Amino acid sequence: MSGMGSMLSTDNPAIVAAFHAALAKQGLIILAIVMALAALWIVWRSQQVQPELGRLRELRAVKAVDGWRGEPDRRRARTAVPARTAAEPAARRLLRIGFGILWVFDGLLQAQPAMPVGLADRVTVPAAGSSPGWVQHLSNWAGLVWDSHPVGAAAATVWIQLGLGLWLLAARTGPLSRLAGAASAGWALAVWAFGEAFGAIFAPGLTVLFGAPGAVLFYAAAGAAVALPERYWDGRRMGRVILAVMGLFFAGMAVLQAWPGRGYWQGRGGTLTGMVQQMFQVSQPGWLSGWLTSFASFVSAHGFAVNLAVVIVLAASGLAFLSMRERAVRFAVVVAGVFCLADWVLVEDLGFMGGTGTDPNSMIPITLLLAAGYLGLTRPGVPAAESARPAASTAPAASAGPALFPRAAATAGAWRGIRGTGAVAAIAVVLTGTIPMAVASARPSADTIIATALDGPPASVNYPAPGFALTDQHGREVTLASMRGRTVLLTFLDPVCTTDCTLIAQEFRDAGTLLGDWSRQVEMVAIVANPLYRSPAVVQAFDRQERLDQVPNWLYLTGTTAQLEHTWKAYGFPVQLLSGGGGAAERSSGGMIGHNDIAYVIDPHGRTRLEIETDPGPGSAATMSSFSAELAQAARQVSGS
Amino acid sequence: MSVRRSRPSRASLMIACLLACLPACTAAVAGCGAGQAGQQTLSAVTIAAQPQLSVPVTSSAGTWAVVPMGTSGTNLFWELFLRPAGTARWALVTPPGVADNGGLVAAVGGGLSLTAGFRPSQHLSFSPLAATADGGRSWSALPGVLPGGFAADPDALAAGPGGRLLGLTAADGGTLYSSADGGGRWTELIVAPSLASEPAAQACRVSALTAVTVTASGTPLAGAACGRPGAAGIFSFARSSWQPAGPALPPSLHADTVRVLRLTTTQAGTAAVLAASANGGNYVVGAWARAGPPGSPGQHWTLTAPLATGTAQVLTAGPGPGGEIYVLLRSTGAGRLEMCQTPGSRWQCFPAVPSRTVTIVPGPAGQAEALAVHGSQLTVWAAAPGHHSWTAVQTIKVGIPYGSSG
Repeated sequence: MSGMGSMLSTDNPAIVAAFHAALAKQGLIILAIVMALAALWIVWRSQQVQPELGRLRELRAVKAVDGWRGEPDRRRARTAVPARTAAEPAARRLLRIGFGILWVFDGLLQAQPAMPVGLADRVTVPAAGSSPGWVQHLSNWAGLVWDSHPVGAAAATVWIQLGLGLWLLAARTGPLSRLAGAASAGWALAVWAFGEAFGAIFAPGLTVLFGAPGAVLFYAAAGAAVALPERYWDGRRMGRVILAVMGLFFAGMAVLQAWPGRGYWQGRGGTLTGMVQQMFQVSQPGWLSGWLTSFASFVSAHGFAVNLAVVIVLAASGLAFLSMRERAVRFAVVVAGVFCLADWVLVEDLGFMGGTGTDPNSMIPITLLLAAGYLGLTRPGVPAAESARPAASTAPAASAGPALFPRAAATAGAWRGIRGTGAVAAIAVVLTGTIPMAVASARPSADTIIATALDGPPASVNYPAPGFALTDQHGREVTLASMRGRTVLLTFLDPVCTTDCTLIAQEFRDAGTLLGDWSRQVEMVAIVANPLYRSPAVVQAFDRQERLDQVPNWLYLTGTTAQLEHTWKAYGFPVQLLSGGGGAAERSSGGMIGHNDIAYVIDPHGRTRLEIETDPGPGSAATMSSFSAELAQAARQVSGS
Repeated sequence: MSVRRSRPSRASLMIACLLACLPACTAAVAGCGAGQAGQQTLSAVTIAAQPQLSVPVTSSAGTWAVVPMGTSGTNLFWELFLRPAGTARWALVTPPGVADNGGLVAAVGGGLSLTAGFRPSQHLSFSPLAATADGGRSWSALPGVLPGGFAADPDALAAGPGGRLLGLTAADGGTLYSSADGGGRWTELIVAPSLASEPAAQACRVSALTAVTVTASGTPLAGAACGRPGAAGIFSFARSSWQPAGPALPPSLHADTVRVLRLTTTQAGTAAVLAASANGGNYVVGAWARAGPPGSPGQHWTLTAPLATGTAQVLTAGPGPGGEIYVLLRSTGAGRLEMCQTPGSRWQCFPAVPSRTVTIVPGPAGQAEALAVHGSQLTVWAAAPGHHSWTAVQTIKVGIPYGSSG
């Protein structure tokens, strides 16, 4: 019925099923790629290892005859096994593994069924709600891209984030590892800009307690650190840099938290109380809800004290990080870690509840960075040139003695190979998500799955289309028979409708554009669906309003009330004057005409082949584009059949 | 194990610089939020002194009243009621076939009982029109539509003899269209900037067109908001040109800028309601034009004494069916009704109108009806002259088609 547009729910069965199917399909592709890579690796490994084992057997045979002679064998062994690279600094390893695990977790969160429909409308676009116009514009653009390809975008995000995580985990050192860091930083920045509205840093009310300046900004920072050449990790330099940046961040957030007039010193009705109460609305386990309730009551009663504690912890920790003194930093990392944990549970509500949570929010990444800074300060990285010398003397099994310990050497080489193959497989996972999404984004229209999800798929039928003889917007007589030889997209529109009919008209217009050259074989026809407002002037005004007056194959047909009623009846198309019913509502009370939203696709032989429900639902740019694509696809299908 | 150490002096300098910048950065971030909040506060204090579309008009069929009902947005519907001539009961006669969430404008004359125009709403950007000749029992759609849609002014539609219609849209500060064939075809008559450039309108410095009517003799009149103080912008269209027709304002209002709130022609003649404002305060002035030769009504205006409105909002105002000038004001408390019956009489203050009163229907001999709306219920209240209270005389329950417009 006109104006009764339904919304797209996050658990829409068609969308969820398509999402799962896409994940399964792409998962199989990834499995095939991984298996192929594994097979290649096995073949390559066997070719590399066989000659090497032969040399080792020969070496053993020589040793058995001549006894151990030391140095010459060692030299030979070094030629058999690739030179050892420097050990990965502990801080870098923590960042790489920690953020690798976070990306994997985020990727799994992206696989939640509510993501295709819910992410843009519930998470990313609202996140920009209080930001400046240009941020909202950016966020809306990204939201439109997501909403136009909800299944493809959601599946792509799953694989990209899973792939990035696995890539970071697999590639320990070397160019592939640094590339993983760079890719991680790039994706995180994209998410930060388009998905998190820059962490709301341009919006009022910025606070670290609620995730500012955006969780993924910390992912980006960590990725950038991992992407740096190994030499940057030599010594304590990276530890100092990380701690300095985090120290400044904590101090800045302390100043912001203490800034008067922002509502954080207030208990009841204050900003923090409001934030905690806001989290009640998210579906979550009972125990967590209980904790939040208690904490909200506490903050409401002791708002000033809570904020004072927050300011002190932030300021003191920040200063301690900036001091670079080991004991102070250690103590501050522990205190800040506890603070982050408490905030993560009590204020950020773990960050990933509610069905559309995308990540565990900012406190876990912050804690990882703090720990990495501490490790960088206390366990400095060893330059590669230096690491080789002492390692050779202290760890003979790993470096100097592959010839003496062939099994260990083979195992180490195997692990390197597995990691390398894993990294390549992870890159394949990322590309599996990226390529289909890039292809979908390049399409001029939204996916038809949205229209299907709203109104169901087009119904295949096969019956003679009822004929009609009406007048077009230019006053010319038009019959259905006169359109033989061309496919007819037929619908019924109320020219003075304020809602659905205008949207459907726009969908027809855009379908004509999508048809391109095919449009020469298609007539797009609407018949007036209002017994009162049916004059050519009204029809022309509607055409001008919807810019249909410039569409060459558009016909808007009208006629006498009797002619129209005859046509409505022939197509089983009910038209009624809406009223509220009851009492004085026996008379009109300002309502529009009630009618179905339906389109018929009539083939060149005059037979109706498809019936398409065209209730435009929310009438968003994405849903309208989807309906246009569905209409164009249906016209092509019937024209080509 | 050798470890490279960073140079403390450079690091310290960098940290010191960053620390120095920190308060400025945080202050800037905090300031951004404060600035936005301030802007919101400023924009919220604007008060529009523009009467609602809910006004009564009178024809030979009776008295008609346009009333907003329902809730808000797409669940607010404008309903048309008629109290047939010689009766005391109102009846619902809203024209069917169009969702009227944007508002209704109505005009009597031209041989038909009433012509109604639908204001644009949601995706509808033009205005269809309907007419009834039998007291709202049946409606016929006019063949044409008003391009651009009616402006949100109660006198955006006027009907004259011979099927002539005038329609005012909001485009370009007000664009006036004319139809000589009963709404079949509309042609542009004048736009506000063009009128402002006419020599005849120099004294007014027209900033917007706000009302339109057709005198009993068939002369189109346009009301305007003037940018120049001390001028009332009413113009007549005769012999293909516009002439100033507005009343001369009393010396007490020479410093005020004036906007024509209402301009309408009733059986008693053409009358107007003007809103004047200056630093000294806000006033409403009623004006009657005696029927005179075509194109010269300005020479025959009679004004009421200026009614000081203070900070109160003008909810609705107008010439009543018998030419009475009424103003319904609302400040913080209940609505206040002031009425001036005839030229030379004083403003008469009525008892506080019932809550949720949306329009007033002045009656003869100082009577008045107040139409109050609560959701889908219309209550008609009546006050007799000299009485100190309002009495509910009729209740009408309307079946509002909630949810049908979006």
